[in-house]
Amino acid sequence: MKIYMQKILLLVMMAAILSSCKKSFQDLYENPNKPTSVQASLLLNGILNNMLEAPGGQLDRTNQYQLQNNSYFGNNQYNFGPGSNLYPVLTDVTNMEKEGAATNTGGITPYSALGKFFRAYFFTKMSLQMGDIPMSQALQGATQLSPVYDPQKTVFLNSLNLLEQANADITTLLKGTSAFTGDIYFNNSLQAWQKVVNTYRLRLLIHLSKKTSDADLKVAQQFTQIIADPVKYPLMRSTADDLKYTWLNPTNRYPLNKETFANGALNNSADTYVSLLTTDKDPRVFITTDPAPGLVSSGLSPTDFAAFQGGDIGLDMGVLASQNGGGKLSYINRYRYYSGYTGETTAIVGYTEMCFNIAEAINRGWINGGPLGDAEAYYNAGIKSSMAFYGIPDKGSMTVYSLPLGVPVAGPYVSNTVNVDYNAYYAQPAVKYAGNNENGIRQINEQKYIAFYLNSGLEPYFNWRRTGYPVFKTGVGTGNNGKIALRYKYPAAEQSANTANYNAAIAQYGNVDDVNGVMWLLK
Amino acid sequence: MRNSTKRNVYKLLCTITRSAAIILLLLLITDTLQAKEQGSKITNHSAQIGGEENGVLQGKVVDEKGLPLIGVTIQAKENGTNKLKTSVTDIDGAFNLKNLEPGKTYEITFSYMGFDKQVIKDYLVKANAANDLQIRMLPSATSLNEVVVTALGVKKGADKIGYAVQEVKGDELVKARDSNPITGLTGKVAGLSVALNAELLGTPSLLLRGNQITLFVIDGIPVSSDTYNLNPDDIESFTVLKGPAGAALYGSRAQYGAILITTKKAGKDKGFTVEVNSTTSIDKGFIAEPKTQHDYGGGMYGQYAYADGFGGGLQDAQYQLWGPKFRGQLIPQYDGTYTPDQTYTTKFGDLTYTGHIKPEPYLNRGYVDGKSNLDRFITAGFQTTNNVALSASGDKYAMRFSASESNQKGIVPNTGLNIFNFNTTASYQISKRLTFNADLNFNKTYSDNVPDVTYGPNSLIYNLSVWTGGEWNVDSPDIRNVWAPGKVNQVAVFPEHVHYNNPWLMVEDWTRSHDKTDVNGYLSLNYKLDEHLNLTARSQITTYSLVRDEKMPWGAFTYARTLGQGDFREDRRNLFENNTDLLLNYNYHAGNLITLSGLAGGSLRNFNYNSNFTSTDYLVIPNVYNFNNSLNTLMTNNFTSQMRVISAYASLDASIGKYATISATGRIDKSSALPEGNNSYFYPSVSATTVVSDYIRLPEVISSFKLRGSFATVHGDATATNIGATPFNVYTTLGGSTANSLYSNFSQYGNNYLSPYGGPDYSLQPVYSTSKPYNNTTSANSPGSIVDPNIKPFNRKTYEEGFDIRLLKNRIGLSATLFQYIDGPQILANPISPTSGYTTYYINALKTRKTGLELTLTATPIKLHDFSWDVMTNWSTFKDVFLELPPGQTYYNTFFQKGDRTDVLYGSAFVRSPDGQIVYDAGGKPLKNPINQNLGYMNPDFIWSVGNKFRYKNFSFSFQFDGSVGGKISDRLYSLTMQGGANIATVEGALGKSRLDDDVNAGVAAYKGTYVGDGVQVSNGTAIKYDNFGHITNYNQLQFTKNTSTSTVQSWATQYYGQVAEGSLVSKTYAKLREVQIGYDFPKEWLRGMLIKKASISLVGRNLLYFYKDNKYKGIDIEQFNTAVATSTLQTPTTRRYGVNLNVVF
Repeated sequence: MKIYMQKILLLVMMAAILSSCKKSFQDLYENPNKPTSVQASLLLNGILNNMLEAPGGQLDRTNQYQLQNNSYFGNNQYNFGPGSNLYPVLTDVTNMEKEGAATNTGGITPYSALGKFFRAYFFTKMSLQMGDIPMSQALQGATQLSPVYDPQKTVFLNSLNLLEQANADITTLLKGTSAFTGDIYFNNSLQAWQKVVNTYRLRLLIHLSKKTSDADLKVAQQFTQIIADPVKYPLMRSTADDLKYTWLNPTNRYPLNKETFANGALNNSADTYVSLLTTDKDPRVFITTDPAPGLVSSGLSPTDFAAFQGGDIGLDMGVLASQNGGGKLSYINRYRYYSGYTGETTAIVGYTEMCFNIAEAINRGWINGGPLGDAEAYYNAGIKSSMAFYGIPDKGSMTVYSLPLGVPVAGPYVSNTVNVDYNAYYAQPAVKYAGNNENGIRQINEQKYIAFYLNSGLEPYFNWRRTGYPVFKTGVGTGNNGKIALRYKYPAAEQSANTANYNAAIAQYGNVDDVNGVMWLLK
Repeated sequence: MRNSTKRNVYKLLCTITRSAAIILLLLLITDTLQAKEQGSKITNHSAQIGGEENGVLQGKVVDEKGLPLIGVTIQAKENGTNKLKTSVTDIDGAFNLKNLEPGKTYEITFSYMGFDKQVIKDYLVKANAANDLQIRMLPSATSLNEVVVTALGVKKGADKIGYAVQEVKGDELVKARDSNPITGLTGKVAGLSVALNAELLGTPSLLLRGNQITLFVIDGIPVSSDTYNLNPDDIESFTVLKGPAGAALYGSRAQYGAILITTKKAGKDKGFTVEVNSTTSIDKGFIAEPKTQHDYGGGMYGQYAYADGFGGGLQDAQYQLWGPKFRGQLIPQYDGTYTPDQTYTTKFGDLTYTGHIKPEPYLNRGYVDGKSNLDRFITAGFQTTNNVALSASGDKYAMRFSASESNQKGIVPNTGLNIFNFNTTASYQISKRLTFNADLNFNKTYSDNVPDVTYGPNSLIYNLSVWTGGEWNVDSPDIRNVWAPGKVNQVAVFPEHVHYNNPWLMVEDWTRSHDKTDVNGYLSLNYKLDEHLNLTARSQITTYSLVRDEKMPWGAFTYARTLGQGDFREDRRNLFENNTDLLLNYNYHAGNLITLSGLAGGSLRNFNYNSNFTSTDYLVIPNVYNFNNSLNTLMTNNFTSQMRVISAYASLDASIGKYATISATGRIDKSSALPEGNNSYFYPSVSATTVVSDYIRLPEVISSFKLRGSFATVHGDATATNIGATPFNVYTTLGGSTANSLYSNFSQYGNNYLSPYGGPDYSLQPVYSTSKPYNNTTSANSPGSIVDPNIKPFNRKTYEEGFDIRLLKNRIGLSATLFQYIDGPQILANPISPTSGYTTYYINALKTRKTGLELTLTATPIKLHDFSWDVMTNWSTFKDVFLELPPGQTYYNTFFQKGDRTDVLYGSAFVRSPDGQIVYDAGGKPLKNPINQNLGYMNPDFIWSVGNKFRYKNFSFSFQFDGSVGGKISDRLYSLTMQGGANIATVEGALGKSRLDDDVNAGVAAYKGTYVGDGVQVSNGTAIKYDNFGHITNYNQLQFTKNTSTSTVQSWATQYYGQVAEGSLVSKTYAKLREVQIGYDFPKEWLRGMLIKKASISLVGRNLLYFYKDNKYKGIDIEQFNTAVATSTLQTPTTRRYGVNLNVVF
């Protein structure tokens, strides 16, 4: 009995000791749950997802399309924190290029060509927010832990170059057959991406409108070069060519949808946007905005422009809350944005914007005209493209919907028929193109702002910052001592982890990472 | 080449361990055979031995419980001479005095620190016969420290230990028991802070010198524990090894100290005993509860009209308690009659609301008889624990079986926790040399429903105390019946449906089960090679399997689950760990002066963990909780990890007579949780102690005086002590966190339950994360971290000095310990410039220094035959500062510089004028500094406890106060209830007055409020300028006048308490009457004639009083936040506990 027991014991012990010697320490060290390398197409998919800046929330307030009326959920202040940290996405780009190169022999691959575009896209996006940023020494991991900040000019110069190369590389690739996968936007079409590359380049050049005299950048020449050679530099020809995000149910719902309907009560439309529309009797207001419930219940028709009243984002939030409580402020159009799951597509880089960019370039005299004609032709094409996006006919009637107070998201919505006539709209002196002068610049940028409604990220704000159009409201509600901030701060870790370079970069703002500092681009 | 060498070394180690096991096996077989032979031949065993060696006195020394005493000094003085022979007992308590002269008489003295000296006079050494002495020593009544359990279960005399340990007897925790076995340690040990957790199954926060203790060692063997699998009834004592010096032998898992648990064993008294212990307690009466108003209902800015609870009405979704005042005015409410073809209008100022629900008088319903919905929802908790233990001992065996069952009914309806524990422990002396020990513990902790109070719509506190109020009644039949008529199991009745849930739905239908089975045990063989050497082979397993599920019904709503069509989730985790040790104990005397003892051994730790997690994405059919009932694509993920540590260790205790004991330990580990090349590490410790009073004559008042000091280093690998639900998962649909960490939460709401782990965290291996962000197509993201390829194990050095002094014949004792920890270089996840492409760089860097002082004062002011009074006081403090920042950095984590305390609370702060007043903007709202500011320290200045014990004849009475002084935290409950209008302060004083104005003006578009916050405004229109640290740089240009701008209470409170952490900053100073016990031991005479040997009854109370200086913040039990955290979380109100305990021994 005793021996029997001991033997069992010992066998158990021996088994425990022996069984553990099979795997080496290194085998055990490795994490079996996650990959240490992945295919380029998966990284591409991730990068593309990162291009979107979804509407709803702070973005729409910075652009002054929407405002918050309850300070529990946020505020309307321009007390900017750090700008977007897109370096991790750029690391994905680097790794995608590496992985793409490994599977394709020979220099250029679709991944490397798109990689150049992504670099230009993400670096300029960050630079537009923050100013000077590390680019040439960035993304080197442990080999360069404290990258220097490249001047904003260098970032733009490099990015424009990258776009030039990306365009050339795609041209080369299109001559052969080089497949890639992972594209959620264009179903792996390089032709489509080439148009995006060049259209985006026009956007960047417009951002440099205060730097036309720069001998290195050659802003006007570059613009001319692109417009003049549509074979070498294909551009978008309609909104069908847009780089845009299409929302899906159930996997990718529009942020405003019937399940998030309750959030809508916390936001009002801002009059920065609404008044631009109502002043010019713009039918787009019926599509994007609901009439103020209190104004309707006190007798105004839901198709009366006077019933559409945005809030002044400069006001104290308590005051806005009272106005909203009194029913005096409009909400976003609940029929369009909340009644379903997929809202509208969200442009990232689009044809409509391009039309206005070309119009502005003509206005500024960089070019004399384009395939569509003069500045007014492009201005018109932009407005029409935007109207079409909202399904507004050139002439005729359309049904518009609004949601009265006390009715659930499921409806019933109030429907009304309104008559529209583009020519009549355009004929208004305020709308009709004023010519290649400052007034024309204002009109182009106001129309561009209207067309940017809930898309294209921070572009509305960047264009305001560059041109002053449309007039952004300020006041106690926007904080920051009554000023609209002009830049975002650097990522928080910079101050302690990249101190010397960070200090050198903020020296231009009086040694403070100041949101009111004026970056090179705006000087 | 290098790799192959490593592999060879490893193989060699494996071979050695294997060979050792084989040798042991051979030894055992030989011994067994010998024993067999002897058994058949020998009749008088002892006579035979005595006959062989003349003049030998041998025997064994045990303590009062029959357990061997190691290191007892035995002196035999020949009568009439000065001839002295000395020996010391070995690990079995056995001794052997040689070269005595047969026929002579001796005076034999047994002495041992903490025990009464025993003297046997005129002992005659017989010739050719057995000279055998079996001695039982009793602890000296006055002693404070007796024998202490140290690492690997070795018992040592307190006078031989050079580092701080403190022992708590298990029976102290059995009577005044808490729902968690470990929270009874609160206040019992200096330097140990135990924060009770009011949640069912909540893990108490167990901080030793400011760090979470995670290592529990039962009878010398590390055991995976969530603390619920420890059965207090089986625990003889807890020994808290405070510093790593004491724990160096356990490796890095003991870097923050360890709790050693000695389980009860059968005594040496032959025969059979049965002990029954039963406790019944109730939890009733809150000591901390949110203080809420009951004048205003749900809504915003004084407006509310119900249409559908989804936002279709006026502020009828995501509302706060800023709705209309209960004035009996007509308002459409959730239970109003819905008439589709009729409209009703309700007027709020300028606004006319039109709806189809018939307005009814708006009256308070939630407060009935002065009790809120929460008060009336929560019931008394109830717990019974019954334990039966059987012990049996014989000549060669000792066995104990114990079964325990604990049933707890939570204070939240339909919640509870059951624990079943079965323990068996046995030892058998196979032969004179060979002893076998076995222990098996089975524990099942299970519940059909555990509440989750983590902030979110899943939380009752969120629903009942923060965001809803008097506009509904928890006892109203429609609410109580949960389901809307005709829509059973689909649509719940409640005033709001986006973020708030019917509480009955939450507890009866939305359930979270927990079922954890822990099995741990060991087999051990001890072979006595000779009187000096003792070989032990031991193999242990610790394992658990855990299944948790969540059933979310249709009609429940929470973050990212907006469809309200339920969900089913299952979280399964399995852990297996085996530790096999081979150790050799030795014990030698070099002359009369020097004693050497210690051990040398090796151990192999194998660890294996796997888990999986699956969730539906909504349910097709309500109430069918099965994965094939998922509406959208099922989400599922698994995780697996393995680890091995191979170790060798040795210790040496050298005693130099009565002068000093010097101990040294060394351990070398090779761990698979570090990259090859840097995965083995050595850590030594030394300690010294001297009992000065043993060799220097001290003033009469000093009974004893001991000095001690120690030094140790600890290294360690990349492991984690806890793990959450299957990590490394990314489900965009659930909105969870996406980090590649063991704790990333799979969903946007609720608590990610952490279970014990102790395995690799894989942090040093950058991996890609994958997810399906768009249209179910897979995408990958690069790792966010990089790792120094030469990364080494982390480092911790500790120094500790202390003394123990006893005065006035041991009536007063003071124990003091000073410690210094130098932590680092650590394995640091250093935040680097994100422009490098990565956010984290794992390097060896950062040093911090922690210093602290712990005092324990014990006193016996009165000691009479029938009456005694004992006092015990613990006091401790520590602080931790940055000593060395990562290379090239002058700041760490944005704010910290060298020399700064590590626990500074940097939080959002008000902008202040030079004279300290809050600066307001033109809208009457306080300005928030754009940069976080130093708001104070998060750790307390010190913690303290005072316990008193009185005994009069058979009665005993004891009570304990304890608490903490200093430290700051932002009170989230206060912040939320002020922002949400639920807090009683929003209806009191100036705020209350303005709130009335706000109500009258609800819906008036031009209304701007009447509340004027206390502070100043900039009067000269100059913009305030800040530097990079938020300091105002242009005070000289700013002029201030008193704030005159008005605001509504709601918009003021949202800014003051919501945007600025400083607005709800509170002190962590508190005190509690922790426990009161009244006991009675039935006199022996009463029990005579019955089978009962001993019986006692106790009445106990826990957490009876809570003192917090500022009553308005007494809504939370601040004790629960004993760690350095910036913000408190939601918690279930803490209750008082009253119980009765009955203990009977047969």
